[in-house]
Amino acid sequence: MSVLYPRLLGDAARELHSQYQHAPIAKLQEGHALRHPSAVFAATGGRRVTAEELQRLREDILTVAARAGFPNEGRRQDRMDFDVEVAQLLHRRCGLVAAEASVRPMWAFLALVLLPDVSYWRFPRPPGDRVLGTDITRHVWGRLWWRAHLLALPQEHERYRLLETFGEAAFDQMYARRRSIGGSRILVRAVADAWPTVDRGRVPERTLLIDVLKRLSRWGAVVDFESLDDDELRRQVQEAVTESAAVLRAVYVQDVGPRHASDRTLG
Amino acid sequence: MITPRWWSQPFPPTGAIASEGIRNQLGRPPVDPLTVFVRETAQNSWDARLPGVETVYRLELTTVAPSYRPTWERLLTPPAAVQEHLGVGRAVSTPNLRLLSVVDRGTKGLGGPTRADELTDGRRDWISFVLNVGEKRDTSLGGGTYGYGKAVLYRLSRVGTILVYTRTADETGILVSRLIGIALGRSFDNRGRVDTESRPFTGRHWWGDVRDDHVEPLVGDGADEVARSLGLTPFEYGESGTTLVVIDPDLDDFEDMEQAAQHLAETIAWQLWPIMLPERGTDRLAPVVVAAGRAFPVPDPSRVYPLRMFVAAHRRLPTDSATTLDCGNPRKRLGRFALERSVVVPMSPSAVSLAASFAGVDGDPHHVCLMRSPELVVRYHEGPSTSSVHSVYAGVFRADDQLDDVYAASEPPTHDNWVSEQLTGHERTFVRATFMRLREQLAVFRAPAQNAPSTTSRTALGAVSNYLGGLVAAAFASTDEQPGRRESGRPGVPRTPTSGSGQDSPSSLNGSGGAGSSPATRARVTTLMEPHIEAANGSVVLVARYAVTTPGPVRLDARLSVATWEGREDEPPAGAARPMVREWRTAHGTVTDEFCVVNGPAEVELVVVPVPDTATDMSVVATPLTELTEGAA
Repeated sequence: MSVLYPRLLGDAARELHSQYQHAPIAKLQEGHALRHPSAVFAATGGRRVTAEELQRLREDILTVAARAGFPNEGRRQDRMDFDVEVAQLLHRRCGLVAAEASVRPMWAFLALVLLPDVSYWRFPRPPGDRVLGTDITRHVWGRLWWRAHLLALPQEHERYRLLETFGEAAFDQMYARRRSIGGSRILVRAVADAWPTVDRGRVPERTLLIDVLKRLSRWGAVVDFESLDDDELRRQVQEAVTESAAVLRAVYVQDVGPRHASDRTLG
Repeated sequence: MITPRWWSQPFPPTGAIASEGIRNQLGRPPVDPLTVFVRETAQNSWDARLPGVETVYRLELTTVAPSYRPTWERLLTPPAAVQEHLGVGRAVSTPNLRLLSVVDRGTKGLGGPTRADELTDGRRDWISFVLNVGEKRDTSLGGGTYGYGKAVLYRLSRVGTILVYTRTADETGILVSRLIGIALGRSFDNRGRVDTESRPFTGRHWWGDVRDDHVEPLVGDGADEVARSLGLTPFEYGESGTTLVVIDPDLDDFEDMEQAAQHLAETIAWQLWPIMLPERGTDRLAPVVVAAGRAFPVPDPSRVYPLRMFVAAHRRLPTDSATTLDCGNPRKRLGRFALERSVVVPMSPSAVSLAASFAGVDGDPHHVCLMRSPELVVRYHEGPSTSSVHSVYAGVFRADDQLDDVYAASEPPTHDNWVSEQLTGHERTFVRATFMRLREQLAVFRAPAQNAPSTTSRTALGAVSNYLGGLVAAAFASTDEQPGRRESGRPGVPRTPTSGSGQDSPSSLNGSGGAGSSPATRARVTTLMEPHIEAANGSVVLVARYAVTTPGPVRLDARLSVATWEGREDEPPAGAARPMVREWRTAHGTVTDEFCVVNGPAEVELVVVPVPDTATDMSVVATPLTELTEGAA
């Protein structure tokens, strides 16, 4: 059965955010709670999460955060590892179904009530959508759950092995197309599956991914990817990836000036 | 001069193959005897080709002219003793005797000894074609392996009789003509007759210069003279080649000779196109079909749909866009494979020619043409049909020369399939692997399985509309919202100033406000006919019809893009094509430009070349030109 989480509605969330925005992490640690007077539950659709479960979730995330240097700033790579680990943790543990996970105030509750200290540590002085849940694909926790959800392989032993395939910037391209490509889990997984095999040459990952997504998007107008079987889907995706890589490699071989060299380090 | 006579082969003491056996060598009865006939005779002609000249392959459907008929009857009527076993006697005594002749020139003719018991190191064409049965051919990379296919010639003749008229170089290099008749009847014995010695006969008969125990052909001038008296196509000076004449061919499937000739011409295109292509230079077959004095042109395979798709794929074989298919274990190159895809208007069933359906391509192609070194079509191997009737493909697989023997050995006598079961060991693996690789290559086309897993919540109807509606995206005619967005810097192209007043004045829409005082800044375009697919000069185009209601000159710009999952595509993937304007059809002719200027009110048709495998979004933006001229004044 699906688990329901408290939802922190808009006004209350914005108020908390304005309080917390410039507060030191030590103060935020004191501010955390397991419930909030303005939080509400959905009337139906599952059982309500218990206080113990919320407490345990907080503790687990704190453990992962501590490994990544919390409450100190830590290295960039550590925070990447933190993201991957928390994405799995949230997806495995929360008992959320996609319908509940697309309710934005729920994520606001996690960010502002249960885990304000970790949220503001992960994104210091964040723009509102990182914590408020105005845009799940940017939300400190919501985007991780969805990333895990899109890439999880429920039938496999290592069900989260695809999580590390894409960098954050590349995966944002999927989120940006969440109504089309990003909305099809099997397509996202197929791209992730094909990704490590591609010979990128000097082509930045993000550039290549955008091009691949363009190709898939063209086909998406006439092909129902969901109706293809695994074999056919893999073939289609592989064709797009190979074609993009081949065309772009040629472009990037031709002009490898210093300008492009700096592009590469960014990508 | 020697008068040719019939001679019937008696069973020798050691036994011999009876003529029924020869007639049945083809195995199963052919689906269409004429298709087998064309394949077999063309293969013979092709294997006999001379270097440096085009091989002429002419099929002639004729009726014996009344002036020649008495000669036919006089020369070809068999002796009374065998008359009931040799139908040709009946045939030559009827008026309107039909003949189907294969005339090849630019070939070397049937040479070598005329007796099968003579040893030779040189050519044995005559022996293997006229006398022996099932003899292995030694033509390097030749089309046939065993001469079984010639049985179709006898099958096609209602009286089992053919004439062979050939001119070939003898050992000294001098051209000599030969003429012989061959008939395959039924084996019989003549014990019922009192006028001859009683014994069993094989049913094989020869017509020519009868000797004690065999028949020699008529040779030299004697042969030419008899051929002339029968009205057979003569040889020009210095010309070699062969003419095969099928007496009384079975053309019951056709209403008349014209229809049969048409079918033969189409069959030639379907079965022989790889050796007809002009890029082969002189090493090519030049087919001609003539019926009752009228020529029936053989369709140009590189122009007619769907054959031209196979031609296109074939031409890609040596390029990078083709792939090499390999066998994994044992490791071996199997051959090259190329694919041609297209978006088409589906053929109506009545447009499918008989020749195409006998070739196995019963409509729009989803086939791979199999061929090996002689580049004769082995068969059109049917692949999975695509999920859309508009999407078709044609492939060509050409076997590697190193494996030519293997593929040849897997062919049945009619050379129209590769049957791995005929082989053993590795050879069997190679042929099986070939079909497996082809299956893999074509797996992308497989139509979606019935119970495909779906994780979306689309309703069934939604899925259907996604399938069908996506083929042609709806077009909406829109007025010019952003005239300034067009790229600047085109000299000589009039543009609408963006600062024009009265931009939204509705009164100016139909020019009712008076063109002078209140110039129209927007022109109205309505869609008369939604975009639909049409075939134009053999390619697929999208056509939509618009009406311009604003009076005066109006500039129309096409807004084209690929419709993607996310709406209109702003920027195509790297290196990918975009839809293009092919032309505007107006009342005053066609305009082949990005934009066109019409004098409203008017109707125009916009013709767009789409990008294969995509949906196209098209609309038209109209800008009146009156304001510009007045504003400039």
